[in-house]
Amino acid sequence: MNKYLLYPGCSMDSSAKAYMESLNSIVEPLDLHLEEIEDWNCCGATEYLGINLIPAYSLIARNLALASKQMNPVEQAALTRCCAVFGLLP
Amino acid sequence: MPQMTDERVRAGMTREEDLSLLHEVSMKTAGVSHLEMCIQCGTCGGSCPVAADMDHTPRMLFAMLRAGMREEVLRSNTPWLCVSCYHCVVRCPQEVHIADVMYTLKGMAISAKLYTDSTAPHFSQTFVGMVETFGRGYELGLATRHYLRHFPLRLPGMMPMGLGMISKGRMAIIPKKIKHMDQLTKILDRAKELELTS
Repeated sequence: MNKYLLYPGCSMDSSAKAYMESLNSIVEPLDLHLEEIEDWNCCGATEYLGINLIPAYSLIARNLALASKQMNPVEQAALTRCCAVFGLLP
Repeated sequence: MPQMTDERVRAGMTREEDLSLLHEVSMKTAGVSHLEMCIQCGTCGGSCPVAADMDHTPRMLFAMLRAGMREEVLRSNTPWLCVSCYHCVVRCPQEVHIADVMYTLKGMAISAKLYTDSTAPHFSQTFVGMVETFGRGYELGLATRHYLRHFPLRLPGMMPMGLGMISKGRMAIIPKKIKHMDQLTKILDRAKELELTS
């Protein structure tokens, strides 16, 4: 499977830009096809969970709902690039 | 001798002890915390990159929960220093969801107003405010607001780093707002209602 629906996360555009560039550089050699989830929102990082649990999970739920709508499950898998985001996914 | 409950057997309890605090924290943690399964091996503290600055290692904190030391636990800086690297969670032989327990303790400390350093809770609240406005994180706004509130005199010293980040494209000047912010606002409003009634 080389097609992925991608959740980048806020940091990937900014403070973790180097990580983004690393990923982009392996896209071609590994023949990856990355498609970004449209209109994704913040994953809540670790700051939301400490304050309100249900809102924290609702942020994640919206992203998952958007992904399930956009994804072709037969040939695509969802992908996140950071262990913190992965840890937040139920 | 009274018959031991399943939880006590699992937690290796041999005496009658008050485990109500341990259970409360475990119940409030999302999913299954496995907190009762801790065998006090110390792998968590040994794996933690910030353990040296913590008042208590996660292992100590869990022993204190078992001992019912509510106030000491909620005043500990430990949950606030956790950087969520999940190293302890990966290495814990009992699969205790240590990082998730830390989030629970932060929430409980905020509700009980029992934190000694207010900057970390405020940081969380400012972050939440950014997400509720834009739908995504906004680092420049977050850093500026946090420093203005808590360390205004240190703000000028932060300028060179900030400018460096901006010039290298590692911090956006203008926040990115999601398209369907109205949708997210509705979701969050409903989630907060549910949080209050739960």
